[in-house]
Amino acid sequence: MRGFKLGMAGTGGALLLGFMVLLTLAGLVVMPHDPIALDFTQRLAAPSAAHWLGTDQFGRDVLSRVMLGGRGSLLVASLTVLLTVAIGLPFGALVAYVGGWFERLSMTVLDALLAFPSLLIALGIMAVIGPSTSGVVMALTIAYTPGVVRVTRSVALSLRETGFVQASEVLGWSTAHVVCRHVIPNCIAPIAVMGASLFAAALLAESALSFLGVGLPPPAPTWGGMLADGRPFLSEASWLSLFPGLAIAVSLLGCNLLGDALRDRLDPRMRSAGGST
Amino acid sequence: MSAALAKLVNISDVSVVASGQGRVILDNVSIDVDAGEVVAIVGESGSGKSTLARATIGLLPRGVHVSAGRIEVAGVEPALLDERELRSLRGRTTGMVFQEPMSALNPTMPVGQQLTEVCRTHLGMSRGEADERAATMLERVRIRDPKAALRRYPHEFSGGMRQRLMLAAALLHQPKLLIADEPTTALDVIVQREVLELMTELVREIGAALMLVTHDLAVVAAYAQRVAVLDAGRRVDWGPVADVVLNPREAHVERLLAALPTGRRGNMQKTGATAPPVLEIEQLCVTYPGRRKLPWSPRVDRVALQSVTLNVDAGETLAVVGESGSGKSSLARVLVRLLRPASGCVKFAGHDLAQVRGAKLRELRRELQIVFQDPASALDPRMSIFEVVAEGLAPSALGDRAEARRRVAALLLEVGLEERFLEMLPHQLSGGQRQRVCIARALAAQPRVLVADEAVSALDLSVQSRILALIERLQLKHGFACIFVTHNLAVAERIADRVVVLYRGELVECGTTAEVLDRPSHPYTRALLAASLELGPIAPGKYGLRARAAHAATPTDSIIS
Repeated sequence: MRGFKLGMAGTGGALLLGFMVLLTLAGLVVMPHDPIALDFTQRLAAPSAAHWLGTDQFGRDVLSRVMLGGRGSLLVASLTVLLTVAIGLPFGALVAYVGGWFERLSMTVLDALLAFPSLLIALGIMAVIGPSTSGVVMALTIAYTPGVVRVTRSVALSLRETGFVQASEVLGWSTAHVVCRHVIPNCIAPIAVMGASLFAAALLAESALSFLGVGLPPPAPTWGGMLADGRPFLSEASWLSLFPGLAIAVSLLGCNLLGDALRDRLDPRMRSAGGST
Repeated sequence: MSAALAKLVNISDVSVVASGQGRVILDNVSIDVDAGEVVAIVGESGSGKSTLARATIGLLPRGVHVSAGRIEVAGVEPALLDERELRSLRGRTTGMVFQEPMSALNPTMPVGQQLTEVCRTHLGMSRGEADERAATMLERVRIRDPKAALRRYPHEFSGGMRQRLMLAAALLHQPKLLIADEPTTALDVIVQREVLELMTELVREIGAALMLVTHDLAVVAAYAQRVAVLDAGRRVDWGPVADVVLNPREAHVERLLAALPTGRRGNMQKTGATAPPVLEIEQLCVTYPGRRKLPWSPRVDRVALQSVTLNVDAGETLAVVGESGSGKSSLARVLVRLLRPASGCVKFAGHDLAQVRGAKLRELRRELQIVFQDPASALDPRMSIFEVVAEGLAPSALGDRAEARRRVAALLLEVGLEERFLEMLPHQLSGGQRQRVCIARALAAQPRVLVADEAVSALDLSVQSRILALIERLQLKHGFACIFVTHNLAVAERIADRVVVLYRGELVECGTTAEVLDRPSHPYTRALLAASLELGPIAPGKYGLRARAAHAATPTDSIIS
């Protein structure tokens, strides 16, 4: 395998995201304070040596809560992206390739789903199945898959007309072979970029759901939930919203940089320079 | 110095580099253009010919700049002008025609607005005056009903008409210099000739000079007075066409000329009526589904092929000629079953291709292979050359990787590529090498019929002649029949035993190469022959334009409505 270099921006992205993941993982082993222990003597304490990132309105340590919150937020976002792509990519390629009534039916159903705001769909699903981690992942996956299918389908449709796909058909390979060997791999680059933005969207959507009380079940904090909780105290204790907000921003930035770099690396034309045209 | 001043364009010792990679695109090139003269710049792709033309009017892409030398156009140096003055120079003294007229015209604007833009901006004409002038110009480029044409949109015109529009736009402000960058490369033979004639005629009329960038030496010989030959950014030769092209003195020019498709393939000895044809095409019709105007109105399908009946003998080479839209690519695609006929059938090995399904179809398909026009898009960018060619091997042959590797290497060797290409990726190869890989992949399936859909049209002349030779050699060795779709008559003549002429979806002529090209019976074939410009050797070391024996050359307009 060729060397896998990500370039400056990509490495930066990997570092940022890696830092947030590490912080979260570190929370499994050690946390400065108990993230759910109430301590009313320390309400809304500003960042200090004892509480690096301050405390919230119940005196809970913000750093510990950010570390714990990352578990839910990052888990939900990454699982959602993985599932969405794992379902949407093959399905989109298949839809484009099989065509006919199957395509028309699938796209009609998916377009109907797309016509609703994705948060509304997620909200509806959550209302039915009740708050749980797997519920949030499922709801967001259902909400985001139609978009991935649409993008994959449009890429796959243009791939269908390319010489290499047609040559493969003419060589007598089955549709399954052509789709797995040519269509799906060539869809990955655009989907990688979409995956990065989906990760961001899932993080925010999870926050929104938590804010509305149908996200991850309390008392487990999530970044989005903390952001929402800190809103009333914005003027007196800005750190309440600032640090979970920073956590989200850093993760997103890292994820986007990494996504762009991955797309470039996944494109063989950019992998090895010096090729003649 | 006074002699130099009289020149319209003076390019002296110009070098152009791409600043990013430090790549030298033009290296110390000098040419000049007199007023009213036609100067051709000729070279293969990557020779820097377009760059030279663009540098002349300061139109180099970002990151590319003139690093040395001087360019003067009508007494001014574009390099010293700011953006506004440069636009004014382009708007007053020069005009430009590009290769692809569709991308040079804005599809969302009526052509009238685009045509008159220059006159209104740079010559300060009023809307009415400019419209009047544009209409007159359209009339001169022979567009019917010019007033109405001004209100139409680019997509309502055919490729040839669009190029005439571009020509009209470029000449509207009566420039002193017209720069045409491969103006007719994307056009059909007949249209190409018409546009060239029109362009040179108009340029002469308004007394402008023409800087003609082309890869086609025949065009140079027919229309240019002086020519600069570029190779890899260097000026190889420069002078009157008679000295440079017709009596070549430079080895590079001779090589280019030697690569011209000339000569006729010795007709295959017919083995008599004993051998059955390998492909039988009967009453074949192909249509593309059209759009309904309203949900209940009948669908008007576009007919691409109309009851074409044709047999292809084993081992023969059949050239399919025709203009774009004549249905020749549709025919190619039906034969390899990438497209299904609306009616009629293609019989191969006793089966009607449209009726076979499943495993049997997959097995049959392998014997009908195709090579496409654009080798870049015919290779999966993510797969190594080994993987690409291995796809052509039978699935059963892929079990043993070492054996597969050995066979792929052997196939590559057969198409003239060494083993080191095995692990390369398609983008690391040149166009010609990529086309060789495509041929190797098709060959891997051991086909009985190979369809080449404009397989050499996108390649440089020298590469083209080598690929043609390769196909011939492989055919001799493996005995497959070859259906060669091309718009180039010289290529057809060079490679084919028989020629089929398609015109608007119908087969209008079919016969041996000699019959069709020497004694054409259909007026379209005659027009095609009359329009084709071909350069060939007339004596040792001498080249000249060859006239086709087109009986009583019909005025082209009579059949091309």
